[in-house]
Amino acid sequence: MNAITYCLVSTMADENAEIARGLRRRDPDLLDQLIEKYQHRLLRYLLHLTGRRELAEDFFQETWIRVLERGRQYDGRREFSAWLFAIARNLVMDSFRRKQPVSLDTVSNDEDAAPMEIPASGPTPFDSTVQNEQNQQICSGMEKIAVEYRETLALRFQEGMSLEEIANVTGAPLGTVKSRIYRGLAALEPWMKGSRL
Amino acid sequence: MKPEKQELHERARMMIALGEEVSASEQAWLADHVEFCAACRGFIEVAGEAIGSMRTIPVTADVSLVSMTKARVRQRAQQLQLHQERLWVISMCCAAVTLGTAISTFALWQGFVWMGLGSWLQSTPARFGFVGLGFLALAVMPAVLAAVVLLAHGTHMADYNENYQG
Repeated sequence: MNAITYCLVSTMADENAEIARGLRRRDPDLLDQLIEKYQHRLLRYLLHLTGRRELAEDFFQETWIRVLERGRQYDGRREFSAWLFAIARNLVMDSFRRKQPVSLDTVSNDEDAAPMEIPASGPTPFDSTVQNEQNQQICSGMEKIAVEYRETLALRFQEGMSLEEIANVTGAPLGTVKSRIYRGLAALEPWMKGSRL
Repeated sequence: MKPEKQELHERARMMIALGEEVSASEQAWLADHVEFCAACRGFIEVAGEAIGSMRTIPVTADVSLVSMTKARVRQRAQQLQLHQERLWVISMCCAAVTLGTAISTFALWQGFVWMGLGSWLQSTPARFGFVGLGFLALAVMPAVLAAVVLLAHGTHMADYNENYQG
C-alpha cells in the first residue's frame, strides 16, 4: 500500500516538475495539453466564482494567457491545479477590484444576474432524472449562497482539493476554510430539503 | 436550545462537513453524538446528498472555447518569443557598441600619440581631418552597424505594430 502511495506521489511530483520545465520554455504544445486536461475543471471553478457563463469564459481565456506569461513562476513543488486556480482567482479578483472596490462577498450575489447555467443532460432513466432534479436544486442553492462558501465548496467537493490546498488557492487561513465548508453546506440545507419534497 | 448543546451540534456538523479530515478520536465522538441526535443524523444525510450532487453537476467547456483559447495562447506565445528575440538582438548590439567604443577610444588615443610624436601632420586642418576621420571610422561606425542590424530585424516596425494594435 505504502509503495503504491509512494509511486503515485512520485509520479505526480514528476508530472508537476515536467509541467514546470515546459512552462519555463513556454512550450505551446504543453499548454495545449494542459488546456485540454483542465478545461472543464477550470471553467466550473470560474463559473462558481463569477456566476455567469460569459464572464467565466472570458476569464478562462485570460487565465491561460496568464499561465503562459507567468509560467516561470511555477516551481513544480506544488500541485499544478492549485496554482492554476490561484491564478484564475487572482485574475477575477483583480478584475472586480479594478471595476469597483468590492470584496469577494459581493461578487455575483446579484439577484438580477443571469442564473448560473448548468447544461441539461440528454434523456435519462429515472435515477438520472432524480439526480438531475437534485442537481438543479443544488445549483439554485449554490447561486444564492455567499460566493466564498460557493468557491470553497466547489474546490473541496468538485475539485477534490485538500483543506491546505484550498487555503493556498484562496489565501484564507485553514480555520476559515473549515468554517466556510461547514457554513456552506449548512446554507445549502434548505435547498437539499426542498429537493426531497 | 442551551448554548452548550448548540455548541456540541455545531462541533458535530463541522466534523461531518470536513469528512475524512478529522482524527479517529473525533470520529468516535461524532459516532456517539449522532447515535442520539436526530438533527445531526439528518445533516449527515443532507450533506452527503449535497456533496454527491456537487460531484455530478455537469459543467463542460465548449469545443470552440477551447480551440479559441489554444489559438490565443499560441499567438501570445509567438509575440512573447518575438519580444524575447528582439531583446536579445538589442542586448547584443549594445554589447557590440560598448566593445567598439572601448577599442576605438584606445585606438584613437594611440593615434593621437603617434600624431603628436610624428612630424608629418604639421598643419592644423590636416590634424582636424585626421581626428575626424578616425572618430568616424572607429567610434560612430559600431553604432551605425548596430542600427543597421536592428533595422534589418524590423525592431522599430514591431514596436510600431504593437503600439498601433494597443
